[in-house]
Amino acid sequence: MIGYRLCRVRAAEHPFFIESTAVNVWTVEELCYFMYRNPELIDGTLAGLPLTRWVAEELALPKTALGMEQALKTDAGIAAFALPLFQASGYLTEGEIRAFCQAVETLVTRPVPERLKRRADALARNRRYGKAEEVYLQASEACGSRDSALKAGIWHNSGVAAMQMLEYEKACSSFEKAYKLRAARADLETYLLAVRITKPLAKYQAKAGALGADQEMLDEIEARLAAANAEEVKLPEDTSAFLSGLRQAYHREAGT
Amino acid sequence: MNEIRNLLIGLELGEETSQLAYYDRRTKNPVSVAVKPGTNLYRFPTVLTRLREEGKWMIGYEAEHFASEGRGSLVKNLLRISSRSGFEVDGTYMEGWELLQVFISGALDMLGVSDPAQLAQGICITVRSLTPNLAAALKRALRKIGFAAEKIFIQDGLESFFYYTYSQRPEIWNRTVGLIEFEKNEVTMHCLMENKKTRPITVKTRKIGHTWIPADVKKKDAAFAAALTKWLEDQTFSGLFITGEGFGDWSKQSLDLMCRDGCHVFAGDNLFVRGACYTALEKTDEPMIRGRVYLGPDMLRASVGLDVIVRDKQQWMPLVSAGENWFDRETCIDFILDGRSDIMMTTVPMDGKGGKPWRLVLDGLPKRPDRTTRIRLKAYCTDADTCVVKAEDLGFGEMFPATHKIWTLKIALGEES
Repeated sequence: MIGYRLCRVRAAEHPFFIESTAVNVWTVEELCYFMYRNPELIDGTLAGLPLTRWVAEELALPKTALGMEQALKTDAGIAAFALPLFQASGYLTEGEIRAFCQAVETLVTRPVPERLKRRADALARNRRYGKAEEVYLQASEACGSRDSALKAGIWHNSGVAAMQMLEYEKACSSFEKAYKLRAARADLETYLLAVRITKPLAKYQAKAGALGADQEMLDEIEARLAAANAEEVKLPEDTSAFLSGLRQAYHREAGT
Repeated sequence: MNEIRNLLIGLELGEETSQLAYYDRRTKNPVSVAVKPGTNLYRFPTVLTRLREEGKWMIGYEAEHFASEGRGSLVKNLLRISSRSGFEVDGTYMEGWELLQVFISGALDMLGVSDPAQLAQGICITVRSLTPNLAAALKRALRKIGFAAEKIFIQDGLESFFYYTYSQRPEIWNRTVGLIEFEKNEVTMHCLMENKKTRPITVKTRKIGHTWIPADVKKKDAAFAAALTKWLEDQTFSGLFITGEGFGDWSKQSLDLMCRDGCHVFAGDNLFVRGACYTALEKTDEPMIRGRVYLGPDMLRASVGLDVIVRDKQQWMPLVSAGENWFDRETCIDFILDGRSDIMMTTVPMDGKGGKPWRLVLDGLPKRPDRTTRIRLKAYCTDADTCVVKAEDLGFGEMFPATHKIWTLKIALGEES
C-alpha cells in the first residue's frame, strides 16, 4: 500500500547506539528498519535490557518494552523480541513481519559457518567492513576443510570488503582463495579484475597468462574498467570537508 | 463544588471584569464560581498586582485592595496588552501573555482544586472580541499553565452565544434568537441566522442594530422601545437574551414589546461564561448540539487533509478543519513516504460535497530506499481562505541523513475542482 505512513511514536531525545554498526537510531521506524533488514545483527548487544529501557523511556512505549522483556526472560527468540516493536510502530506490513519471522526461523537452523557468513554479509551491507572481515575469517575457520562452495563465497565476500578498505593485497589474496576453492569463471574474473586495478599491467598480464584466462574474459575486464573510468566524477565544492568525511567514514567502516 | 475531575471550565475574560464557571454534570448546568464562597459575587475585576515585598501575585478584588494600599502597582487592560512584550511591572519586565497566565491561574484557584490543568477535560475562554494575537496569547498562557492543546478552546462572545442558545430547550430557539447587549447606555443587538439549506445547518450571527439610549431613566424605556420596534419588526423571535450593564427596572414598555408572540426573554449576567462551559462540554464530551454548526467570520469553510496509513489501513487525517477559527489551529505531523515523492492533499468544503485535490511535489528530494524518508508536515492558515502547508525532509536518522529542505504550498480554501 503506497502512501504516507503516519508516525505515531515520538522521536527519542537521546538516541540508541547500535554497536554492531556504530549507528545511532532516534525513532521506532529507524529501529524497525534496521532490525527487519538485519536479523543477523540482532545479537546480545542489541536484544537486551538497555534497548527495552530505551523503548520504554525514550519512545514512551512501556507496554511494548514489557513485551520485549518478556521475550528475553523466556528466551523466546529474536522474532518474539522484535514483534511487539513492529506492532507498535506500524512501520512494517503484516507480510513483512511474517517474512521477518520466517527469515529468523531459517537463520537459527543454519549451520554455524553459514550463520557467521550471513552476519558478516550484514556487517558489510552496513559498511562495517573491518568487522565484516573478522567475521568472514571466523566463518572460514568454522568451515574447516568442508563445504568448499560456502568457503569460496566467504572468501569472495571478504575480498570485496577488503577492496572497500583499500586493502588490495588482502583483497587479491581473498579472491585468489575463492577461485582456488570454486574454480568458477566468475571467481577468476573477479580475481583478475582486482589484480588489474591494483597491480602493474605487466604483473596482471603474467597472472592472466598463468591462469589461462581467455581473450573474452580479458576483453570483459577491460570493458568493465573503461565503463568505470567513463563515469563522470563531480568534484565537491569543499574538498577539505569532503576528505574529512571520507576519513571519518573509513575509520568508522574499518572499526578503528 | 460538585465536580472534582474531568472538569469542564468556562472563563469569560472581559476588559473590566471576568467570570468563572464549571459544568455540573449532576444538575446538567453550568455553575458560576463565587469570588468568595457563600456569596453572590461572581464577577471580579480583570486586574492584577504583585506585592512588592512578598513577590506574590494577586488578582481581582484582592489586587485592587493591595494596590490601593500601595503594596503593588495595579495592572489593568490585560486583554489590550496581551500581545505586547517587555511590559514593566514594578521593575520586572513581562510579556503580555505572561500577565494573562498569572491572571488565569489566579482565577482558576477559585475552583479550589489542586491542579486544574490536569483535572480539566476542557477549558473554554470567551472574550467579547477575539483577535488572532489575543487568541495566540491566551493559548500560550494556558499551555504554560499546563493545559494540553486539545483541551483548550478560545472563542468570541458571539460563538458563546451560539453554544448557550442551542444548549437550551428547543422552544427557545425554534424561531429566531436575539442577543441584546447593554454597555451602560450603548445597546447592540445580534441575532442567530440559520441556513437550513445546508446539512449540517450552518448558523451565523447578524448585527441587527446599535443605538445609544438616554441616561435619564424617564427617557430610557421609550428610546429603547423605539429601537426594539425597528429591530424586531422583520422576524418572529422565540428567544431574546439581554446581558450587560445598563438594563433594569425602567424597561416596562420595552419588555412588553419583547415578550410578544410568546417570545422567551431572559436577562442575566452570565450568558457568555455559561456558553463557554457548554462549548467545553460540546467539544470534549458527548456533543449535544446536533445538526448545527457555527460559522463565525474567522471560521474555515473547508477542511484540508490527506489520507495516511495507520496499521496498514488508510484513514483520513485533517490538517485544518472546517468550523475552526483560522488562527486556532496549527498542525504538525510526521510520516514516512511509502512509494511516493509527492504529497497529495484534498480540500473538503463544510457540507462535505465536492472538494479539490492539491499536490505538493517534493522536487530535489534525495533518492533513498523506500520508506526511509521522514517528512514533517506543518499546516496553518494565514486567513480564513488560505492554508499554508510546509513539508520538511527529515531523512532517516544517521542511516539516511536529512537535507532539511522545505517545500511550501498555499492552498486556497474557497476553490472547488
